[in-house]
Amino acid sequence: MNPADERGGPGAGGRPRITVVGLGGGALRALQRYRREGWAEVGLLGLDTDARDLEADRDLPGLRLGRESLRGLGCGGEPEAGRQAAVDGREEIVAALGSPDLLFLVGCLGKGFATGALPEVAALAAESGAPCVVLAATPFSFEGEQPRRRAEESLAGARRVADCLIPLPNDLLLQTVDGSDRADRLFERADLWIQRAISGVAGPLLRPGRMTVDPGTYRATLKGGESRVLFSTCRVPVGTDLAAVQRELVASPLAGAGWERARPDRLLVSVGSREPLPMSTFSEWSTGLTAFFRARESATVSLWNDPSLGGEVEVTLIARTEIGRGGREGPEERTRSPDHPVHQSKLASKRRQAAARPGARQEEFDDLLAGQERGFFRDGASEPYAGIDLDKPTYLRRGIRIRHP
Amino acid sequence: MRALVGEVFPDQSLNIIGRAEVDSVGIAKGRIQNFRQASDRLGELIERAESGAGVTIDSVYLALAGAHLEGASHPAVTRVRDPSNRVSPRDLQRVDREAKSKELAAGRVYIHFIRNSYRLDGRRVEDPVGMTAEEVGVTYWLLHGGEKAVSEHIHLVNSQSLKVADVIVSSVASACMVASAEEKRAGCLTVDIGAGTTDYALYEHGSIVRTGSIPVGGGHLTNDLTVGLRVLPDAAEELKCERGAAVTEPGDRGETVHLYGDLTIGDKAIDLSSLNRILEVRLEELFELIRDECGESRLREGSSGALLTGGTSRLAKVDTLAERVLGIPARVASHPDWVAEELQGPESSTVLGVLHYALEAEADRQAAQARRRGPGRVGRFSRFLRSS
Ligand SMILES: Nc1nc2c(ncn2[C@@H]2O[C@H](COP(=O)(O)OP(=O)(O)OP(=O)(O)O)[C@@H](O)[C@H]2O)c(=O)[nH]1
Ligand SMILES: Nc1ncnc2c1ncn2[C@@H]1O[C@H](COP(=O)(O)OP(=O)(O)OP(=O)(O)O)[C@@H](O)[C@H]1O
Ligand SMILES: [Mg+2]
Ligand SMILES: [Mg+2]
Repeated sequence: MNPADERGGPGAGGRPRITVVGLGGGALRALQRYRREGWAEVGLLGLDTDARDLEADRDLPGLRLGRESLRGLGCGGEPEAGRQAAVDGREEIVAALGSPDLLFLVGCLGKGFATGALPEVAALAAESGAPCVVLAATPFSFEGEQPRRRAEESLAGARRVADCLIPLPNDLLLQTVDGSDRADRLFERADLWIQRAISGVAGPLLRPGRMTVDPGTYRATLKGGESRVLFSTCRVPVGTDLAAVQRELVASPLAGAGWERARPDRLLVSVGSREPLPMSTFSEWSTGLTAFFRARESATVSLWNDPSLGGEVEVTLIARTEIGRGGREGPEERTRSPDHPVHQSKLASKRRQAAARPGARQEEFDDLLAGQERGFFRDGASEPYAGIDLDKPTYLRRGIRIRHP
Repeated sequence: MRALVGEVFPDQSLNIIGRAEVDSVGIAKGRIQNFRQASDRLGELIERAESGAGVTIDSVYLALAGAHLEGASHPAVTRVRDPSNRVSPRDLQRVDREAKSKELAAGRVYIHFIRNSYRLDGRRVEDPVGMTAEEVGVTYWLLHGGEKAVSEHIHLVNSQSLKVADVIVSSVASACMVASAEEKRAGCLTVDIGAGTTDYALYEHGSIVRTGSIPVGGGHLTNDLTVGLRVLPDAAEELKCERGAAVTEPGDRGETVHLYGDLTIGDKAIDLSSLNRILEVRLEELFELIRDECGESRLREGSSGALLTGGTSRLAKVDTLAERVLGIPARVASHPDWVAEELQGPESSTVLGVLHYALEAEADRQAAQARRRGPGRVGRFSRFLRSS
C-alpha cells in the first residue's frame, strides 16, 4: 500500500506519488519526451503490445501486453486486439499501476492498442481508487472516418469510468501551428500540451509554493458522486491581467466545450510561476475566476513555483459539476392552457424515461465535451452527408488555420 | 416556423390575410427531434396565424426539407402508336406513366413527379400533341423522401388537429418564387440558404431538372464562429449578421471588431479576417457541394445564373463567393412585385412558394369539383411549375 494512503491526512510529509501511464506508440513517444524534459519525481509507465516501441527508450519503464497473442507486434490498427491484450493483462496492469495519489492515462487514439485498451485500463484505474485523469488525443479529420469513429467509441468508454477526461483534438491543435509545419512538429505540439496538462495538475502537489494542495483536495475534487470535470490550461507572460488570462483559458485547445455554460460546483485553479506571486494576485484571481466561471463555491487557488517556467505564468483550471444539480440549463418548458391539450406522443414519453436513467444523463453531459469540436450541434447524432460530418466546422475538417489576435 | 394564411377567391386571385412566425424548437435539419416541443410551437404558430387572420385554419400545405429528400432523373421512351406517326395524348399518357413508374426502395415515398420537356425522336418539343414522330420520350425528376420523416411531419400537424392538404418540397417552393419565367427558360440555379438546410433547384428549359437539400445553413455559420472564436452563440449570431462577410478582403487583416454586451466573457477583440475566413471556408464548401452535385460543366453550359435566397443570403458578399465557386453569375434574388413589402425578405421565399402552390391546388380543386374528377397532384403541380 502507498504510504500516502496510510497516513491519509493532508499536509503530511513525504512526496505524493504521481504516475503517468502511456498507452500505445504515440503516447510512448510523448512519455519519452516527458522523461527528458519533465519532472523527475513523476513516475512513468509505458503500456503497449509493440516490443519495438517499448524498447525504443530503455530508461522508460514499460509493460508489454499480449505476449502470447501478438508476440511483440503492434495491434495493426485493430482496437479489438488492444482491448483483448488489456483484458488478458489485467493482473499485471493492476500490479504495475499500484495505488498512486494521482494517476494520468495518456493515449493517442485512432489506431489499435491505445484505442482499444484505454477504456479497459481506465476501468482498472477506477477500481484502484486513485484519482484518474485521462488525456486522450483524437485523430485528425484527414486520417479518415474510421479512426475518428473508433476514437469516439474509445472516448465514450473512457468517460464512463474516468474521473476527469481531457480530450485533445488534433484538429484543434492544427490551429495552433503554422501551416508550413510538418506532421512531426504537430506531434511535438501534442506532446507539449500533454506535458502542460500534467504539470498543471501535478504542480500544486509536487512544487513548493504559498498555497499548495494535498492529495486529499484532488480526491475531493475529482472523486465521488456522478460528476463531470472540465479542464483548461494556458501560459501567459508574467504580469498579464486577469481578463486576458480568462480569454486564454477559454481559447485553449485543451478547454472542453461547455465552459461557457457550465456552472461548476468546485473550481480548482493552479497557478505556476518562477518567482512567488504577490498575495494580492491570489485573492484577485480567486474572486475573479470564481465570478467569471460562475462557480457555486469560491475557487481553491494554488500558487506554486518552478524555475523552468521562466517569464511565464501557467494557469490551469479544473472545474467539477455534479450531475443532477444541472450544470446546463435546458430550454424552458412552455405551459399551455388546459383547454388546448398538448399532444403527448409515445416518443416524447420514451425520451423522458431515457432522460431519467442516470446513465443517459451522464451521456448527455458527455456530449457537452464532445461539443468542443462540434459546438451546439453535439446534440444531434452526426449523420454524415456525402461521407462528411458537416456539423463540424469546415476550417477544422480542412485543417485551415484561423488566426487569433 | 412560418405560416401564411391565404384566402382564395372564386376568380382565383389570392389574398394574404395572416402571417405568423415562431422560432422552431425541437426540429433540426428537417427532422423532428423533440415532438412535444415542436408540437407546442406549431400550436403557438397556428394560434397566432389564426388570430391575426380572424379565421379558423383547418388544413395546411406543408413544406419539407432535409437530407432525407432525394431525387432521381428518370427517362422513358415509347413508340408513337398512330400509323401516321401523329402523337396523340394517349402516347403522352403512356410515356408519362412509364417515366413515373420507377420502383422505390422500402421506406421511401414519392413527393413530386416533375416533368421535364418531351422529346420527339430526340428533339426537344414543348407540346408534341399533333406533331409527327417515331418515338416520344420524356424525362421526369422524381422527388422522394423518407417515409418516416414525411409521416413524422404529417403526424406533427395532425397533433394540432389540423389536416395536411398536401406536402411540397422546400427547394421547389422557393425556386418558384425567385426565378422569373425567362430565367427558368434560360436555365438557372436557385439556392435557398436557410438556418439548418440549403435547398437548391436547377432549371433547364423552363422546368426543374434537379433539386437537392444539403444539411448546412446559417446555423452552421454561427456555430463555426462559436467554436472558432470561442464566443457564445448569441454573440456569434450577432457578429455574423452585423459584421460578417462571405469573402475575406485584404483590408480585413489586422482590423478588429469588438464584442459588446457579453457580460460573462467580457468585451473581446476579434480579428475581422478570422471572422470572415471561418464564414468563407464554410460557404465555399457549401457551394462546392452544390456545384459538384449539379455538375460543373452542366452549370456553366446550361445556366444563365444563380439566384440566392433564404435568410443567410443576407450575409454580405455571399453573391461574390457564389459566383467564384459556381462559375456562373450570381445575385441575391428578389420576389415578384405583387408580393407585399413585409414579405419581400429572402426568408419568405419558401412560405410564399407554398402558398402559391396551395393557390394553384385550390383553384384546381374547385375546377375539379365542377368537372367531378380533375387531374391529380402531378397535373396541378407541373402546371404550376410552368405557369409561374
Ligand atoms: N502525441 C503524439 N501522437 C502521436 C505520435 N505518433 C503518432 N501519434 C498519433 O497517435 C495515433 C495512434 O498511433 P499509435 O499510438 O502509434 O497507435 P497504437 O495505439 O500503438 O496502435 P497499434 O500500433 O495499432 O497497436 C496516430 O493516429 C497519431 O495521430 C507522437 O509522437 N506524439
Ligand atoms: N444579415 C444576416 N446575415 C447573415 N445571416 C443572416 C442574416 N439575417 C438572418 N440570417 C440567418 O438566416 C438564417 C435564417 O434563414 P431562414 O429564415 O431562411 O431559415 P429557415 O427557413 O428558418 O431555415 P431552414 O430553411 O433551414 O428550415 C439564420 O441562420 C440567420 O442567422
Ligand atoms: Mg503501436
Ligand atoms: Mg427555409
